[in-house]
Amino acid sequence: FTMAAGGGAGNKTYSFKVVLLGEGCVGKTSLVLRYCENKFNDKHITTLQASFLTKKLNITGKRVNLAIWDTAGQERFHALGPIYYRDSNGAILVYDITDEDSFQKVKNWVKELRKMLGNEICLCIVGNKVDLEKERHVSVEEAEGYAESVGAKHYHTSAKLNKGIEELFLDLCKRMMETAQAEERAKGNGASQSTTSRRGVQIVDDDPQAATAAGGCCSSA
Amino acid sequence: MYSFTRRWRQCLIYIYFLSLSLSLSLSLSLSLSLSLSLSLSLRLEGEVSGVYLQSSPCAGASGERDSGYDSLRRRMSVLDRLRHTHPVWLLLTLSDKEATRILLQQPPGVFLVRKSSTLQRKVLSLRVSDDDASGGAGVCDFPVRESQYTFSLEGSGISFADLFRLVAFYCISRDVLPFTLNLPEAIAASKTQKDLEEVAQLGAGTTVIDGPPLRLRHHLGNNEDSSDDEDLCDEEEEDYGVSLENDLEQGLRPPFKARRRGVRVGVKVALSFRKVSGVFSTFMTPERRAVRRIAELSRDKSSYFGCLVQDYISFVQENKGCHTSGLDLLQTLRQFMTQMKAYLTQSSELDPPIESLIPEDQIDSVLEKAMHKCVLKPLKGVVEVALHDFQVSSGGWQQLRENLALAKTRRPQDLGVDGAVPPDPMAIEKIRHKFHNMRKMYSPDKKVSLLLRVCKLIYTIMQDNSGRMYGADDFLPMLTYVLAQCDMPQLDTEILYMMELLDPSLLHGEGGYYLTSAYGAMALIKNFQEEQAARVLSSEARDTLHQWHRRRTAQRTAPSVDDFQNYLRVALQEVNSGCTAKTLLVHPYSTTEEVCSLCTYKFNVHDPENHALFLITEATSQQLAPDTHPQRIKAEIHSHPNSQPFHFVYRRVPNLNLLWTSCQLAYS
Repeated sequence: FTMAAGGGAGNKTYSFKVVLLGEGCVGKTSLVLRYCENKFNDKHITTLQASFLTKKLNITGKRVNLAIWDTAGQERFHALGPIYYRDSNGAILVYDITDEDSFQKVKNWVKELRKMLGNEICLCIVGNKVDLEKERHVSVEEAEGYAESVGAKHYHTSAKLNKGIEELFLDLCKRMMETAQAEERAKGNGASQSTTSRRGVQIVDDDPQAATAAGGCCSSA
Repeated sequence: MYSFTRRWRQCLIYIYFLSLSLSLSLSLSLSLSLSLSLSLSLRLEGEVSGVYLQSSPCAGASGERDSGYDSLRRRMSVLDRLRHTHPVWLLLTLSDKEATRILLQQPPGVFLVRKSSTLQRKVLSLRVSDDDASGGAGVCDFPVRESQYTFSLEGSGISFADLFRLVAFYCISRDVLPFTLNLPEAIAASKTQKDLEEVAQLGAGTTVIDGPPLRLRHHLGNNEDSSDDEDLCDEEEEDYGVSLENDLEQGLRPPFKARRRGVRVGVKVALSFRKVSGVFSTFMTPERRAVRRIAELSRDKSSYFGCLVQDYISFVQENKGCHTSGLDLLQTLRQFMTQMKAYLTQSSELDPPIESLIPEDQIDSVLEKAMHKCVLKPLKGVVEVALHDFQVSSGGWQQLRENLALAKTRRPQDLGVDGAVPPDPMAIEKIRHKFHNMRKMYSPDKKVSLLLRVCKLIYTIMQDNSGRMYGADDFLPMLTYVLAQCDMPQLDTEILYMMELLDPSLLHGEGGYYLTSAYGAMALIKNFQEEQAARVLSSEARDTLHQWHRRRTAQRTAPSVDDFQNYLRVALQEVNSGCTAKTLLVHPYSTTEEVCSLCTYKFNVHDPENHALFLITEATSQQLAPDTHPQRIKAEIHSHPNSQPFHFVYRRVPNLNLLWTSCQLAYS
């Protein structure tokens, strides 16, 4: 009995949850709509809405199911962040390159995510609206430098011109898969350790707990 | 309730009509409207079993032909035979090697169904002649394809509701096989149900196989009539299937029962035709059947599963006080259901095995549904009252009502709606009605699907007025506005119920998303009055985050049978009043820290900071670290061959542990 994805190792399906964060008006919704364009799953009751979207991918022979969770960007909803980003495998933090404040907002989110979820979440920082390059207020160097300093990747996109979006999601999926695989390996080791170290009356038994507490992905097929 | 009564009346009319010309109208209407696979499977039961072992397609090997009249009198169809004897041919755990060895001793046509370890799927292993397509191996494996609701052989276009129907069909028609299947001789020769049961009892041993363990047979059919009626009266059972194949035992019932059975079938057909999407709901039948069997088993106290479920239900009913909060109560329930699912998949109490009825990727969701029926349905009332009581006693109810009333007076833009058109009072009334229906459900899945319908309605109204699509920036404020307008404080515990009891694997999906949004909207309303709402919320949300994380990690670890022993006896040792012991509900994943706080509460200790939990044996006394798990320690000690008597004691962290020795514990 396992909660993990079914099937043999070869035909495993990864299920990832990705949360979309960023100020209102930076284009989160258009970005994800672009990505999932014409690919709406008619099994979903709220088909054709942009708050919750899914996408199926096949990456190097592995099936990946993405669930993309949009969040409300207005300040008054900030406090609800945790209930949306918990259990996320990835986060896409969107700012508008013409809006310095929206970049500041991204920095706040990064801080919070790292504090709450540690390094188990893959972060993408996305400068949207590169079609408005002339009005840029956030410098490329600053944004990329910042991303690197916090262990995130930086991307430039334009929802309007459909630029950079496909790459962003593909890259994120690959990283989430790597994280999941590394975790599986770690878990495998942890399990074998705890069985071999089983002797007599064992009072302290938080090994398996620690191993699973590392969180993770692909919770179900 | 009203609409249900009306529907019921209409059904009665159908019953009269249908019971008149039942057999005719059934076969006609079914073949008209149902898709290929279903009508085929129905015909298998309706007609093939009507022809009854039609000169025994399986008699090929034995050479002795069954007279048609004989079998007609006996009313034993191929399907019935297969169902009663599955321990002979359905051997899921049999290895490739073992299967080959067994089949090679049999004549061509004899078969087994098993799970191939190399292919990682079910296969039909068929004995073929040595020079046949098998390349001289003598045995051919035909992989079984399992789609969402059906079973079929690889390469064939015909699919079946379960494995029994599949095998029955291939006993009669060869389709993609080199020839039709032969039932092992003992099965084919059996004349009565009793004969068949004997065959099954001997199992594999005599007829085909030597080796695999026998399965215990349980007769679950005792109260099937009453449970059927209950199903029909159950408002939540919307998916009335055409369930001709109702119960496995049915074909073998004494004739006088036949009329009643006919009427019942009539009801189901009538209902399903009344449904627009009836064609699809008919596919639910095997699932419904499996759910019903599990529900029956859960009421049968002579089974281990039944005992566990019934004991647990009584425990919850009688010990509402043992939970610290509504959240705690719900999490306990969720954990119990998860453990019971694990138990059912590991044990052989279900007969026939669920794998023969339900495609593998559906098993978990079927078990989940069954748990809702076995556990949540009987406890719905108790849980509802308990959740409300917790809310009232914490003051949350009053605060929520006040804030709701206040929020209701606000305009959409006050709640963050920016431009999108909100639902008008009529639409709000419609939404309230949907929420009322949602409250009647016990199944978290069904509640969630009603919540989704509400969300859909909100979206439709927004979109109709603008033509554009909306993301969370627009939807969440609108949902908050709608919840405020609905003014239903009961929704708060409803949302909690869904969040905690929904199958964890569904929490990442659409249901999980909108549930989260509803939770968020409700949280905003709850804290509406307070300007520092943000601060309160984030600490609250942080708690939830912690709780969810704990739950997720807890569910991931596979539970064992030990986990069902959820009780821990703990003694309080006091300096002057000696020892008092209490049995506490302690889960396998509960930490010592949690047990300590439970003890503080149960024993009414005023200085918990000076107390700790100790493991005491005759010779030793050990203080347990806060992050250890007492139940696991208990299990560990129990599993030790020469375990010493031991006790868990909650007591002052002492400088004088000598006091302890004078204390005698009555420990059971």
